[in-house]
Amino acid sequence: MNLRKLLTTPFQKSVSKWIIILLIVVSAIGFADATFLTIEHYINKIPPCTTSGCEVVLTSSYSVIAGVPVALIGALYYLFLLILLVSYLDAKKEIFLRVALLFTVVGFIFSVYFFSLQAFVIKAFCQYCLVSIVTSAILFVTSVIVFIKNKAKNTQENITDNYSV
Amino acid sequence: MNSKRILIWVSFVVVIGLIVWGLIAAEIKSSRKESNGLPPDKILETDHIRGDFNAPVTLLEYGDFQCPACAIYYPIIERLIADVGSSTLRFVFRHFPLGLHANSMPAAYAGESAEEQGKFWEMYGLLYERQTAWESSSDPKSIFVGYAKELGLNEEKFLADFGTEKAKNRIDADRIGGTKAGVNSTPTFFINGKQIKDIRSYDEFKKIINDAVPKISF
Repeated sequence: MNLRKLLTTPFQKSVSKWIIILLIVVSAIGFADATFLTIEHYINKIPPCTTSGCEVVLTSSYSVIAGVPVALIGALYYLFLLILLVSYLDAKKEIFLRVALLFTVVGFIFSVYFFSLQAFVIKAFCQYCLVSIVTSAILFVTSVIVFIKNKAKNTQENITDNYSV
Repeated sequence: MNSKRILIWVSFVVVIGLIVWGLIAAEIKSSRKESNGLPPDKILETDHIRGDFNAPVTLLEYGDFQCPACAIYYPIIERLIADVGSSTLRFVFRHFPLGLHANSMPAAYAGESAEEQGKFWEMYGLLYERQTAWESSSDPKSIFVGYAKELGLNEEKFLADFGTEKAKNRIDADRIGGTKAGVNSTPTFFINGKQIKDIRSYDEFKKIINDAVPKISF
């Protein structure tokens, strides 16, 4: 299934409202988490941490990309998802949902990258960053499930169509 | 746009706004608490300062208005300030109320309340000069109100400012900073951020201050 198809093939059945709500809640958690880290970054503070890695991770050279804190990029990413999801709820246009679902893949790839950085390069973990990794993973898995379910439905309907012909 | 759509977006903006505002407010509050406790080598304009802010020598006292030793040092400090001159010496007072003195906190509150009307140093002087008059009083506040009147302060305002959260935070901040710097008794003096110990006389004090003045050599 290519990207264009993913974006244009309509969902056979509208996606359950509960899935949208789950996506919104998880994105909101991710947004709050990333916003918190962004604020901490700008007021030059290291948040209280139960692991000792926060300071190492949040002050590492990887915490800023071209002068922009990674946390801010994260916050904007979650905000963008939230806007798309609410737009979907509001306008009921599937394209919003599709773009949101595809973006969770991008977010997840970044999360895996940052997780690897913490695990293998910085060798320290920051719990607030781990929260974001968990939220982006939940968003990603949910998106995959939505797409797979839809694909299964599509195939099923195709089969029924063939039979009916 | 129908009202349902407006409702969706308004609540969206409100929720996002609340998240961001809540986090910022919480952080500013907690960082204010942490920024309490300035080290002895860092003096801000918000400190209680006598003398020129840019004077080359800073004498910082962590004091408790009820501590008898502080009261003994009080005239020595006054003499130093007069002799050395405000362009050379700035004197900074920070609260370090000791738990063992029952009236230390009310006295510190009296100082802060007078500060609100720009007369901290006048109150500071009276508190030290008349320490014996209020140190064992069961109602020091009423005595302090008397001092406030004597200084020409607005009594109502003095009472309204007495023991407020703001005053408490400020006193706590001073004490936390002192504790962090290793202060455990009063008075503890710092000259240009360095603690000085065992000064027995005015002359010793003056010598240390003179030595701290940067020498201009040609």
